Amino acid sequence: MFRRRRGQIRLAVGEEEVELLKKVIGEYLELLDAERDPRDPIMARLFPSASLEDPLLADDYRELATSDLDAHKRATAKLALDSLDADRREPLDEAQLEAWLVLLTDLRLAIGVGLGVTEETMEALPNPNDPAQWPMAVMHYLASLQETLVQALQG
Amino acid sequence: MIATAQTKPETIDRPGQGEETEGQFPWIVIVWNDPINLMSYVVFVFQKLFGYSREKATKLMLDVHHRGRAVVSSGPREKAEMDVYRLHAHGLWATMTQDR
Repeated sequence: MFRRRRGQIRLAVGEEEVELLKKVIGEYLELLDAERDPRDPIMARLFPSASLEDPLLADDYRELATSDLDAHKRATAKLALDSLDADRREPLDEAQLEAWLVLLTDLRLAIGVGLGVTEETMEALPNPNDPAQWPMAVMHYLASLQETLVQALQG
Repeated sequence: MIATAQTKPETIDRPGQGEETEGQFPWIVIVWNDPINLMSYVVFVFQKLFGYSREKATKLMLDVHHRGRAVVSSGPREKAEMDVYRLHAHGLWATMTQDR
C-alpha cells in the first residue's frame, strides 16, 4: 500500500508484491512494444480516439498525440519500476507518485479490457472455476493499491 | 495566421474553420463511462486536471457513472485537444465535439 506519514508518501509493499508488480509492468511494456493493431480493444482503450463521429478529427488527433502518449506511458512505467528497485524507505517524489497513479490505471485497463469486464463482473464474487480468476484478483489488488495512493495524495 | 492564409488560400473559405465559428460553437470535452476506472480516481483526476472542487468533480464523476458520459470542459479547439490528451494520459476515455 501507499502510506502517508508527515506529508511524505512511501510505497509499503512486501517482496511478493514487488515481484507481482514487476511482472505486470513487464507485461504492459511488452504490450506497448508489440506490433500495433488499432482494432485490438486493449490498444483502442490505451490510445483512445478523440472523436466518435469525425474520422478526420480522430486521425488528426491520433497523428498528433500517439507518439507523445506512447512515450509518456513508457516513461511512466520506467519511473515506477525504478522506484520498486530503489530504497523504499525513502519517500516517493512528485514524479514517481504521478507515475504510479497513472500506471496503476493503465495496468488495470489493459487487464480489464483483455478480460472484457463489465460493471457486473467487476462486482461479482470470485468464482474458483473461472480461468479469469487470477487476472481478476490482480486487478482488484491493483485497485486497492490505487485507492491507498489516491487517499494518500489527498492527505 | 495571415501568412498561413496567404500560402494556403484553400483553407480560407472552408466553413467551420474560421475564428468566428470557433467562437460561436465552442468545443466540448466528453468523458465516457468505463467499468474499470475507480470512482475515487476519476474524482481525483477531474480535480487535478481542471482545478474543480471536490463537489463539482464528484458530481461530474457520478454523471459519467450514471448517465454514461459527462461534459467536463469546453473552449477553443486547441484547449479541447489538450484536455482530451491530458485525460487520455490519465487513462480516461475522452472525446471532443463541437457544441452546435
